[in-house]
Amino acid sequence: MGDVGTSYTKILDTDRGEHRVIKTLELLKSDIRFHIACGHNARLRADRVVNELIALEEGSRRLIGEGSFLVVDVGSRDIKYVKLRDGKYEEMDWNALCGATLGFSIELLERHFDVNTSTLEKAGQSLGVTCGVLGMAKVFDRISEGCEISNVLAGFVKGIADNVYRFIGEPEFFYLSGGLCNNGLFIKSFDCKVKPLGRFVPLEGLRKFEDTGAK
Amino acid sequence: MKIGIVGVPPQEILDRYKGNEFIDLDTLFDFTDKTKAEKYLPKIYCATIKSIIANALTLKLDLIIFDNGYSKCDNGRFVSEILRREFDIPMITTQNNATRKQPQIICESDLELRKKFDLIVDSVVKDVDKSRLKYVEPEYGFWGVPPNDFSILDLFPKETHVFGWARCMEAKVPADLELEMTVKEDLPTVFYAQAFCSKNSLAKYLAKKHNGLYVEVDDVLDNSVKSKIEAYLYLNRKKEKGTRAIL
Repeated sequence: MGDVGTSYTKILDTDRGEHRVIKTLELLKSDIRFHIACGHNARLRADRVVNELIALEEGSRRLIGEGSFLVVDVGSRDIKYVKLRDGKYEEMDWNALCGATLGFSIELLERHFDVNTSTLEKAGQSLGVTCGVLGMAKVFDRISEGCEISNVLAGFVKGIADNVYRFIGEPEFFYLSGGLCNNGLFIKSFDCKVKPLGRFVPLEGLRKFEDTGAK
Repeated sequence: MKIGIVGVPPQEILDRYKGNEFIDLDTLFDFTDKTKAEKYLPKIYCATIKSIIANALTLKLDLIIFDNGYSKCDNGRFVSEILRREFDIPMITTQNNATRKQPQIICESDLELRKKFDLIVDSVVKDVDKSRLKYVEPEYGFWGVPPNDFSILDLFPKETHVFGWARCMEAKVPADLELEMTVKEDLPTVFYAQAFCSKNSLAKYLAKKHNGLYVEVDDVLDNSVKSKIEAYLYLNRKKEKGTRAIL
């Protein structure tokens, strides 16, 4: 099974019960195919494709249970969330254009400045990021004004966290899915309690559909 | 005469030109080349408004009937002025203040959603036979104007009712804001607006109010919006209908 994202592909080998992550570019150069997949590039490597938000919802049910919860997936390119109340669907949204490209832009800035943002201290002030791309312009402006690079980057990450927080309706608590679960600074930057679930939640959701045989 | 129309002009004006060929300039035709509109409009602009200019530049029209007031949109009002000043085509501008609502049979019929919209658009300039249309119990709602790219409509089952300005079109009351804002309570509804259209404010507001899904589409449907709508329809399904999550 595969979750073929914009930047990374998350793989579950169901025979061995093993997870791994590879770059999607690497996947596209290989001959790996999945018997079922989700994600932005899933169609390139699977005949049976599950909508990634549905995979997120199913995976969250499996990992959290059937109660009331809000789960948010912050990917390289998009943000999506599902809210359940007493096990029933209540609300969803998915932001892939304006206000998006968040994970991707953090990674781009980390590479450019050779900084691991995860190790930085939480910023006191947000950079006021509208989206990843517009936010990057602010980063370069602040640096040209003489601000410390690590402070600016922490402010950028805080800005992204604020953006996500507003998008999901400013809850008191939520579950986080996706690659940014590994970024401690990102999690600390929220003004509420966050529980990271890791980056394999949609893969868990695919299990529901693996044996249906339906198209 | 070949007459281009924009919006829903008053019936009495259209009746004056009965028997002539009407062309809806809001439509994205196969020949519509929106880059032509960039001579007059910003590159980043409402795709429907760009289609109006591009179509007016391409078609050899004898007359344009432009409903350009609050029964259409502000962008339409400005663009009608550009057309009037820059194009050598006679133009009648109107404000359709009709208040007598016609029954909205197409909007609630069992036709596929795309066919509903084809018929609604046709009904502006033609008499449409609605006698054989059957009511369908709705599972979903679609709120908005006729989209620039009709392929978005193919994502919905025929059990979808039409709301918003498209409903006002069938009712022949394009300035009826009350009807435009009416949706069916508790019906999962997608609130659609064309990017850079001022109706986005209504779409966003109503989606929040009715726990619907707000979508904004620039020009043609992209995979992200498509996936978002598919997920919303699936998560709001009334009953288990096979495995529609598998695409």
